[in-house]
Amino acid sequence: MVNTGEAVAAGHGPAVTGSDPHRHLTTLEGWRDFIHAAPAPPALLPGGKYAALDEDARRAYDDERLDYHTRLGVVATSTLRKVVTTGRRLTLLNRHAISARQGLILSGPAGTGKTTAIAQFGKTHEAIDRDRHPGPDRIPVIYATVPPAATPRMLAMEFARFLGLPVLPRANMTDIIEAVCGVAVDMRVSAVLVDEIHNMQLATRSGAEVSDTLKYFSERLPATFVYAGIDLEHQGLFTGIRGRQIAGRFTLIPAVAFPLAGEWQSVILTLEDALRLHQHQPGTLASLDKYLHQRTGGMIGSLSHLIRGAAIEAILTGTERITRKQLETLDIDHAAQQSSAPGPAARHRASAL
Amino acid sequence: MTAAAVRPLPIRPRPAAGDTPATYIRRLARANHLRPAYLNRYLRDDATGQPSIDMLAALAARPASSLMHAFSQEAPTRRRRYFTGSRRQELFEAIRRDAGTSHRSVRALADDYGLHRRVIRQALAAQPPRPRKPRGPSRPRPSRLDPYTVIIDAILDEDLRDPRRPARTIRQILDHLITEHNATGISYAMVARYAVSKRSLRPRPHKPAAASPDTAEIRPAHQAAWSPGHQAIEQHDLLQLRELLDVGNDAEDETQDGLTLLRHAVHREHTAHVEHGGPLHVGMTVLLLARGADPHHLRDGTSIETEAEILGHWLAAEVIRAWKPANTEQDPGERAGRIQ
Repeated sequence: MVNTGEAVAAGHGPAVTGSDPHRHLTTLEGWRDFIHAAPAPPALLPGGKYAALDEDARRAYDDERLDYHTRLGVVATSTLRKVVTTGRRLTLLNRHAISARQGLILSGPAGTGKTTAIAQFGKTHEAIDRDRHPGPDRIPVIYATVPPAATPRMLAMEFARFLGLPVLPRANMTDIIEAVCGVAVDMRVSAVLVDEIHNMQLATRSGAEVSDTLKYFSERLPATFVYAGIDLEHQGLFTGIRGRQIAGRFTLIPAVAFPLAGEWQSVILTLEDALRLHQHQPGTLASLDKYLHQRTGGMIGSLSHLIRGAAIEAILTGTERITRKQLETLDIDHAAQQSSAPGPAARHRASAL
Repeated sequence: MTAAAVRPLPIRPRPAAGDTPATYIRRLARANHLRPAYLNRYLRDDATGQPSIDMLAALAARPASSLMHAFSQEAPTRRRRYFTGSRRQELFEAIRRDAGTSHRSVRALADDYGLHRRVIRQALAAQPPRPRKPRGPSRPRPSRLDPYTVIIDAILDEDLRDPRRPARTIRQILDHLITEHNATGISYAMVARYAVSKRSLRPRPHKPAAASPDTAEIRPAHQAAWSPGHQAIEQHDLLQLRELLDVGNDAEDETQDGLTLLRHAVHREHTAHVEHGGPLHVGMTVLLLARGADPHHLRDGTSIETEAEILGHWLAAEVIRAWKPANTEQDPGERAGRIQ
């Protein structure tokens, strides 16, 4: 174990990142890590060399691959492309808008890749902004999530937390909002991504206040606002006075589960191509498309989770391959399991437990 | 809270040589739109009551050693900006403008301008030149005529409404004011200026064809409507007078209080001279004498000649004196009759 550090220093890269507790998308540092993360796939060592690795070196090599497979890149789905292009178009449109900027809402069931899509949009936007204005003194994107049972103060604190503004327990909301807006304007924030917007219930008083606070932010900040949340159109986000205003200002992009059709296969193929397993037979997963669709209900989040889990399992157990049998032993999220037919999965889950 | 839990601020100005923890905290806070007191409270080390340098370093995302280094440096000698005269005024105005629009504190302004807080306070205290007092609507100066304008208006109005009545002259109005209303301290010119300004606003009544006899009775004597002859004299209108005499007006036209045309003419000529300061005319007197007006007429025992002398109308007096002998010889009978 002592030698692990040396192996890392020898060039296999850090096995574990994110030891810093603040590394989340919802902090500036975490967001910047995400922006600069270029998940370059580790080169697969030829079989002979892999076998020749000593214990420590192999552990470092495997760790690196594990790390890689936990992320496994982003699949450019049609929804993601639509969000990125629509978002870009809106930011260009809003560049000179004085008020009433147009925004984007991404709504759909859990596990359809909403967060990935808006984060990818943020990444694209930030990359373009950094190309135009290199230098550290810009924060083009703010990413925040609406906390559950949010109050306006909590939302303002989320924004402050992203920027790294210290929030004292006794700080009043006006001060927080002033600081957030001041810094955001100074740092040229041009896209604000708000995730988990379904936590904002317009029917409740605090939810309505959160909506008003968001609205206030959108008036104060010359930025394009992108919201993402679960089944927003059925949750009353577009009803009532506030809802109608939101409906009038935001373009809705639905995120839906994939049908068992052309794109589903291409998504599976992309994920399979990204795998770095020594014994994996290319085309195995592609041939399992029907099964995977049944397991995941066409949710890309579940699919990614399933395949990544299987890949890590394959590395840890040393089988270095993903098979249907292995997939069946893996648990995935509840939503996907609910939607999948009670069949082999349920049986195997029971056995796994 | 410990330094490990402190995340760097989004905007982090460098510490400058000569900074103290307090000034640096202030600059950090301002750059991040926070109140300095807020950041002070956040950084306060409960043990010492002082801001924690470790936390400050974490906020600034700099090693504490570099902060300590900066804090130990002497501030570079900065040349204070010092302006005099109009540049100082401009600077003060700029400071006042900033203070007015941004509601920034004296300390913040002093930081911005690189000036001492005392100078900022001076600028805020210095009064800008007072704007010019706006001119209100001009009010006429009070006049001694003021109490009588209502009466004059009434007279003018009356004249206007009755076209048959000849418009009253300024003199008549003046006399009326003096005798009936005990007006003092007013002059012909004052009345004239006022009446003319009023009259110019309304059409002047035409000259009446003839004064109706009944109107004379209902008015006071001095206000009696002048006969056309007297009217012409009052208006100092020689040509009109000649016209009237030509068409057969009596040269001996006499008002109820014994004012003959000749006597009236002497008076009028003299007033004209006094009022306008022009040369003394004697045209109407001569014309009336030529047309047979009686130079010997007496009123209250006073001859016209005497009256002219008293008034100071020496020219008329001389003309009448020169006229008398000739006239007496021509028409002794009439003269005798008159005397009787």
